Amino acid sequence: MITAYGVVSGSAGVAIGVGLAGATTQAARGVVMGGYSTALYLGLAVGSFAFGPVITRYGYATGFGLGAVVGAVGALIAAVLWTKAPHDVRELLTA
Amino acid sequence: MTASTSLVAAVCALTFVHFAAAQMRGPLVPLYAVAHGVTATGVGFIVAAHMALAGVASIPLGRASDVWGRRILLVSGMAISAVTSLHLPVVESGVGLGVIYGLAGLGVAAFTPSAMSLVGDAARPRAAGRAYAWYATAHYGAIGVGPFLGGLSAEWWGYRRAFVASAVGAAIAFALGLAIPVRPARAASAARGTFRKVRANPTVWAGWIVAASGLLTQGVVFTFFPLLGDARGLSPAAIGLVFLVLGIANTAARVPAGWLIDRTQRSAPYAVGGCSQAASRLRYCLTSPRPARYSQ
Repeated sequence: MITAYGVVSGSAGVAIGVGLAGATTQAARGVVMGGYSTALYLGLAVGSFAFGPVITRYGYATGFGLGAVVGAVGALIAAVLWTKAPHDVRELLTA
Repeated sequence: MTASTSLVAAVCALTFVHFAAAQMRGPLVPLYAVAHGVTATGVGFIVAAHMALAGVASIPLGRASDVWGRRILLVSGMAISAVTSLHLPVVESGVGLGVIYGLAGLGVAAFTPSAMSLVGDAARPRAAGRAYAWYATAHYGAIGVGPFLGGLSAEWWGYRRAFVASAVGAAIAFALGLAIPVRPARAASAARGTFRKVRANPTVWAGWIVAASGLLTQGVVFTFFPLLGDARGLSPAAIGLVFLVLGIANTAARVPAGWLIDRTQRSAPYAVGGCSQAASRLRYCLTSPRPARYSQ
């Protein structure tokens, strides 16, 4: 289970980087990657700090379950947004 | 080796050396702070200051790399890492450590978006997946190696010299960064209009949202799985083994994933599928008992 978690999360990390790089031109790639970096830190920070009180009050099942729900909802929203880009990896734009 | 491959390799090397040096501080700062009388709350403040500044500054500094070029931000980030590591041994108060370690977050924020952008700028057509896979391998490999080196250095030489060792590592990365030629980014004139387009781009928001939600699940696992394992009766060594397996699987998957993305020319299914699968696997970590330390 842990191996599977590592494989899917590692693969997703690469895919997100490629998707973001292909979604913009070179002229704006820095700000897009800055947003990616911000998302990583905010996600880690919220996961670390906000779920402590939840686990303390309601136990691991609720805390981990809620974390899973947030992750799944984020993936669902992204999937809906991504449907507008059927061929999301294209030759990286340099304009 | 082509020019683009060389540049990707150079960015990966810089990323590995810089982050290994910067991450040496990870386990040392809390221990050093506590050794000088800082409370657990104070340690939380110090680490939070680092993460908050790294997160908040990433977008403006990423934009700065679009306007001023990648190179200046890359080398500035490494310089900030070296200087802040060098200043950590001379402060002992919680506030002082929070200020210095917070500023160290600026170094990360200056470096990371520029390095990731540079990989995208340099990647050959139909090879972006492998380029980002190698970058991520270097980045996360360094995150694994750095704390180990930091702990080892502190055991051999003490905290202060270990911070100096971190500064030396970052300074080496800085010198390498100065020596490696990096193409300039786009001209500033186009940046304002392009920034507006970025904010209106649903694909960009999709990537940001799935990254934030995916890392939230990782934050839960990294922080609370050790407590869950402890509550289930796992020994510290067993918990460490779980994280070792997780780290190896996470790192080993990246290059094959990059190859697959290049072959299929799709990334969204792997991003969405990976994050949703990771979220579903989080549920299997579940047990119902409350953490022992919280249940009294």
